[in-house]
Amino acid sequence: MTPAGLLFWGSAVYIALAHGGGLLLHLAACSGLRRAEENCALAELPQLHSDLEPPISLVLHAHEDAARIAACTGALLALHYPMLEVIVVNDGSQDRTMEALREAFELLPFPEAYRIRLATQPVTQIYRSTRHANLRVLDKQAGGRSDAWNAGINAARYPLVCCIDCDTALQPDGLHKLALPFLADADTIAAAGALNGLPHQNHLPSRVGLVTALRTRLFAPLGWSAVNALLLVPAGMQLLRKDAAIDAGGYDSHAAAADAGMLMRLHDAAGAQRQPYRIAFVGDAIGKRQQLSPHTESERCRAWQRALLEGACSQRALLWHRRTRWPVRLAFVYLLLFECLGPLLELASYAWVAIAAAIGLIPAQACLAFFTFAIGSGTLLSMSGLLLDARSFRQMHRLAEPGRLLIAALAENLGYRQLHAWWRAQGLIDRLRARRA
Amino acid sequence: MHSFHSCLQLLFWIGIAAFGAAAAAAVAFLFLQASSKRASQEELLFLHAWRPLLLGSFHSAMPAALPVLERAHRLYFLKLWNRLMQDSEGEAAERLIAIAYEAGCAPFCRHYLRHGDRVERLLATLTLGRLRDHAAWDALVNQTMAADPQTSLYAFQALVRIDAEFAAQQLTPLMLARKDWPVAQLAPILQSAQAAFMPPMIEAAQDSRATHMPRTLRLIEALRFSLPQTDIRRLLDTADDIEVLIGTLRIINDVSLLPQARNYLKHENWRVRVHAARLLGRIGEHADVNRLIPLLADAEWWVRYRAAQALAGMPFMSRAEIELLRNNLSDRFARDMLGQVLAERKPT
Repeated sequence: MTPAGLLFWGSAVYIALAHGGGLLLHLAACSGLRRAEENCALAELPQLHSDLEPPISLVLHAHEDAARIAACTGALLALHYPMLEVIVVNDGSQDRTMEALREAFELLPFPEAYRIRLATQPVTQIYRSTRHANLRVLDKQAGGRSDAWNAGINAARYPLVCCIDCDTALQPDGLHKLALPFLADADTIAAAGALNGLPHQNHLPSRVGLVTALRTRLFAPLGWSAVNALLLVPAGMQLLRKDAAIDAGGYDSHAAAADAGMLMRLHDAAGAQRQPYRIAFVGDAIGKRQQLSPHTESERCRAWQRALLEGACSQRALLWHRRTRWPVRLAFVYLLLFECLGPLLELASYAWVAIAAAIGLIPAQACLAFFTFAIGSGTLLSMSGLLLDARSFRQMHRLAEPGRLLIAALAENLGYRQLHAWWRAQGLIDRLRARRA
Repeated sequence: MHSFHSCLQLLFWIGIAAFGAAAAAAVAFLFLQASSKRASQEELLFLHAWRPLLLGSFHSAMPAALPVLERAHRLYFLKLWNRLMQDSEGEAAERLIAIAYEAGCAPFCRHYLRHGDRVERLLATLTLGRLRDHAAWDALVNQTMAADPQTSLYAFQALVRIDAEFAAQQLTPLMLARKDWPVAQLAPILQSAQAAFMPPMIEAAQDSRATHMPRTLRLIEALRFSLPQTDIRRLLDTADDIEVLIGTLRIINDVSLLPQARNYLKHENWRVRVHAARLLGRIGEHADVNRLIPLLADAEWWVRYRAAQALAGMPFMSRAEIELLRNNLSDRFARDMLGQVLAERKPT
């Protein structure tokens, strides 16, 4: 076989593995979907809640958030959960964030015996609200989101911690849903949940984005969690057992996206202790990500890809540590091949096949077969995501008409996915350039 | 060359098959969406007819004649009825129960319990419990053995509603053994039947061979039961499990047990020291102040914190005395901790 033929078949095998892997994840997710379908039917019935749910510390990162910090903090204080404390970490804001907090919650300096279990930038002052006994504010030197969350974990009094920022709005029962895996299984060290991230607008690109989000943010994490190998949840949030988070060294202060690598760090640390552990995924929506950042979708894609690569690089030891469980190792290989390098390899495959056919290195028939296969299997993947959603969470049901969703699922594979791959490949190149520099 | 072309054909036809499968998935998706829409409309029609009837029974007597409950509407009825029962009590609840019996709920719920899918079983279980249907007892007991924690726990709740005394006698060992029934969800079920469950749970705590002692003690604490002194002494003397020791320290409310409990202020496990300090904070005597002061300099933050809270919370210790104590402490960590606890106690 000629080198051109070898490259052609390499491209076809790569696309087959990427799309086949996605379909396998959908199949793995099916085990948890029946329960989700039943829970939908029972959602309105009275739930068994008491005041004995595990207490939760909510850590809110605030940086230059003067305009919305009071409203965000107020919303967290109004959540329905029996034992909840809110720790706002002002991460060196230069605007009126601290003043806004002081005015809204009548803060007084609080002489806390602050213990440093995770190294962070210095905390300059701790405040306590005279209006809400369960609200404290940490004023610290700027160190980034991870650093602020780590400082919040240091100050947390309760066994479970949930780190968020002002872009996240939780549903009233979101914390109950996230805490359930901890009640059901004492070995649970983290529960990740899906956030509805995309504001729905009634146009095709928005609907295509919804179909993509279903696959990547909901069913892929569900599939990995079925084998306890959940490594990351794009646009999700996490409830962590505090001691496990501390054992894992907290959030990576050097990472641009703090939460991208946290579950990997937990897998690594928990694997080292050789104790049974569980990282669960909650498929029901627990809140939403408010789109307040001015970034365009292409910028978000590039940023996510950089963060993903950063998280995977920092936890590369998962690949060869003997303590890593095999499903986690498999998930990590999948992450490297199809998430980190995927956009570049996918684009290169498309480009190579098109160019090779144009200049006569491979027959035109090969080009037709390749694109029929790539678009056909991609469309199957998108449709199966819609089908699974219709059987379980029914998130799409509320957002758009079925016919329009089907068109979006088809359109996803006729340009949108390739455009996403292009943006993500740019993010990958940005990251590699930054590393070399 | 020939094999290259055959492989290309195969690739092409796999792609076409994938399109075919995607089309089939699209049809299934449309079908599911349509049936879900139809079901929602049907439920709305049902609610339009039945909700006023059931809501009316809150304030007035039973409706003279009930419409026939169609087979297809049974689950809608059970969902609506259970939602309304959640917020009703007294005569209103009794009228709702009478309506459910008249609509023929009991027989079809018993049928669902044996032959239904999970949603039908759960709804039937909730309903039969609220109807206090003794005829479903055995089927519900079988349901408590189910592997699914939600189904089995709801069956247990139904049995407690039907006959708390008998459920306590028959099911306490199972309740203590089922670790997949979270204490946080069991407690609200038992709260309504405390009198029935107190004797068997105390009996369970008295059995030194009990394998579920930490869970038993957690439930005893959650329900605020009192264990006899002799049993607590025995537990403190014989416990070699840290969880049992902690569970026992958490339920002590009797000052006569203090001499024994004080020994644990120096226990090697910091969690035991934390709970011993908390205990002294709750029921300690003046002499315990000097026992708590060394704990303010403990290596573990939580021990220092709870010792400081215990000292500040003692009714005979004034704020001035605590501040004086703080000023006389030489250990910086102890001083800081006492300072934090004093600030926490400042009226807000």
